[in-house]
Amino acid sequence: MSWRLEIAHRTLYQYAEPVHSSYNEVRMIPRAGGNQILLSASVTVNPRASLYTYVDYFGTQVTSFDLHRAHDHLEIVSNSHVEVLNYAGPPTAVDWKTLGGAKIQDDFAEYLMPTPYTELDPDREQSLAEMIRSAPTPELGLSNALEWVDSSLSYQRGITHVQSRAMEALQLGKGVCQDFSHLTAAALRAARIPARYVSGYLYPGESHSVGEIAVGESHAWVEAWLGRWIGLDPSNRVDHIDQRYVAVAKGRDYADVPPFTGIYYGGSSATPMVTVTITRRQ
Amino acid sequence: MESPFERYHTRPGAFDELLGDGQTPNRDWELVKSAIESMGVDELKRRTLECEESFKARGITFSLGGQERTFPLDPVPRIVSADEWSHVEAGLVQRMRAIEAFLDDIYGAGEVIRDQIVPRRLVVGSTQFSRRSVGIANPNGVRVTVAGLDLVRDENGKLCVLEDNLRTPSGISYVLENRRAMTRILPELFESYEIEPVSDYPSRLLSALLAQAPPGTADPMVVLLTPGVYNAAYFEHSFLARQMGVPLVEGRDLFCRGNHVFVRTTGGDLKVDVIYRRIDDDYLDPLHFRHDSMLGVPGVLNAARANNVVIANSVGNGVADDKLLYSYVPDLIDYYLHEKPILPNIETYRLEDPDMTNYVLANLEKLVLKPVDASGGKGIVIGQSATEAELKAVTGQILENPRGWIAQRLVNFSTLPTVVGSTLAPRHVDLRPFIVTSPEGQWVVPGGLTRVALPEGSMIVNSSQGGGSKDTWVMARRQVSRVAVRHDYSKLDALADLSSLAPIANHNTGAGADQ
Repeated sequence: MSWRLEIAHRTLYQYAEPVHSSYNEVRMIPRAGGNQILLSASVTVNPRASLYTYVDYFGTQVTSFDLHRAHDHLEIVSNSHVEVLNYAGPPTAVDWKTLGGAKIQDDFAEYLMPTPYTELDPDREQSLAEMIRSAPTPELGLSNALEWVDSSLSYQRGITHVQSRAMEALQLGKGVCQDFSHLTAAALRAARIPARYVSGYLYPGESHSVGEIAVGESHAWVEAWLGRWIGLDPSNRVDHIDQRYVAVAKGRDYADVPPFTGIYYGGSSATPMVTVTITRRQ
Repeated sequence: MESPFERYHTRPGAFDELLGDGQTPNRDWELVKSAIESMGVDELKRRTLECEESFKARGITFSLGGQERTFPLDPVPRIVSADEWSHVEAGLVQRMRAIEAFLDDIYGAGEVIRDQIVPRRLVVGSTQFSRRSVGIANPNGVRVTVAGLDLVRDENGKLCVLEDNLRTPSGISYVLENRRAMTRILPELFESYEIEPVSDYPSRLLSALLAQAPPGTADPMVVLLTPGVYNAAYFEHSFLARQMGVPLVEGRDLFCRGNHVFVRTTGGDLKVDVIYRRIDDDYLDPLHFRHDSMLGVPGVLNAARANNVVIANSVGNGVADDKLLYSYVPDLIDYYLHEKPILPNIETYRLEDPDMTNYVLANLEKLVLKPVDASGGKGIVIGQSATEAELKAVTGQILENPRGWIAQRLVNFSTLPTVVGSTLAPRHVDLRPFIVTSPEGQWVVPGGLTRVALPEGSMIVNSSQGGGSKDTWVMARRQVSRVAVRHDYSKLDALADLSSLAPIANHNTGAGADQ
């Protein structure tokens, strides 16, 4: 069964002092491919600016723009319509030996190396590798990893921030989806399972009906490669993601996928107001 | 008086470029020898000192540990025969063609990885691999506009490649200034020898930059982007900008609007088409790299992506001058060009294999250890001369991050006669030739910067670590007037009077005066 989802993602910055100029990049257009069909997508900004789009190294659509008039607010609205197939794919039969082969380890080198966000101390990486690889199959190893992350972190907002690394969240024992995802990727990579970070949207709950507008949010989860990429959501302890998940960007960690980055001159820093609504159309 | 060459000798274990194998006299050196013999080392030193004073007065310095110093010029030139130079030139052009192909490939189709010539982990694991610049293709196909490779002559007299510098190599200003100085110090020799000129460099570089402008640009605007006066190579940046007749700008002089780059001038904002940048990738665009960079220009990367400006050298070249990648360059020459390398590499050990690491750690005293992504001689440990503590530290670092290090055979660099006290003594040298690549192909500056380690026995030639330099004379194929030797040096004092030196600004001979 597939779902059609309409997503409206609005980000609003209100500056106490006007900003004179700014340079910005937005990653808010869902990916096309895999189990996702992108039916339509648009990004609009206010104040108006001419938009430039390109596809980055990781295959994400990027919208960039710059502003050169004084502005006291910046609003970015991304509207998209996506069809998501709930297709789990064939079972993965990959064993530890195949996964650890030189060719696979080199082909996926990018998703096996620690990054500043996912780096843990060597002793912990060692013990995680042993724990995960003690499972009879890599698929069961994933469960070990999810279980370990679940027992190591409790979901709590406001403790960590966007720059927090997996190591810090682990020490605090608390975090949000970004921290859960970094820590999961770290554990899987330690066990030499290729893992990547995904940012996107999660349709809230399961009970909403077609046409009902639901308040959603930006979300982050992980994909592990076991013969093919398998999506798992450590913050919700979901080991196979379904049609409620809409992927926007994939990369090694958050630094490869930020929904919004900008450099601005003048003005004062502001916390954005972000709203995401998701409507099921089918 | 005893000739300063009387007691000149070969250092054990090293090749001396004057004495050679000791059998065949090197004819190219004869005039230099007799000139120095006739005037004596003291006179040679006097002339050099005068010249150095003038260097200082004109600000030809580099900064070392926060202090401005001149790069000491040793007045005994290095002589390279026409035959050897054509060999070196061919080798450098070959190497650069392979490196250009490699960069184009890994930032594009990635066939070299797919064909398993270079492991993917080597590329994606390089700190210099720039994912943010994937998709930026210079419309005219050049990525390494200026390269400065480091060559050394080994114990058998063979020139080998020690390092590739493909990001923002510096030193060319010393090549040009040293040549100017030498025409004052030994003017008589410039009458006797036909030496390949180096003064073409600024116009060659400018032509290469102009030729890379985005297609359809009628009258391209080139700027030289410097990190500013605190950069060690600032003198060179201002020197080249003046010589090419292009604006010398800092990040704050440029801005982007709608994916076009402009320079602020008193006459209004002017559109920029080509940026010859001498600042590192990390600082170039705070939107994409270090957000705290005050030196860069936000938006410049996307302006290049939109084909509205060309950044030279390209962003991300460092992945190809990684010292681990260096060890694959002979394979790349074979893969892309189907040729055998003309200039060999120094024997290099990759440390990813634990057996190799163990071998290296057991033989540190015979090896040189280098961090793969550093430049300017930083972090290099020479096993033979390192202290216990240094060896212990580097062992720890290698074990922690084997990808971060390579080991190389310790090469005894060749020696050249160098002024020491009142005589000449052998000192170790390397050679940094410069290669300018334009859409039409490569051009190699004849010669390059010969760096000399001044302390006896030392092989650390980096300007940042107290080395000196020599002028490198490539003999022209046809020598016109070998007989015109003058022995009466008293008449030449007038010529050597440095008060008559023209300031650089008046010495700008034509390079891009229309800019």
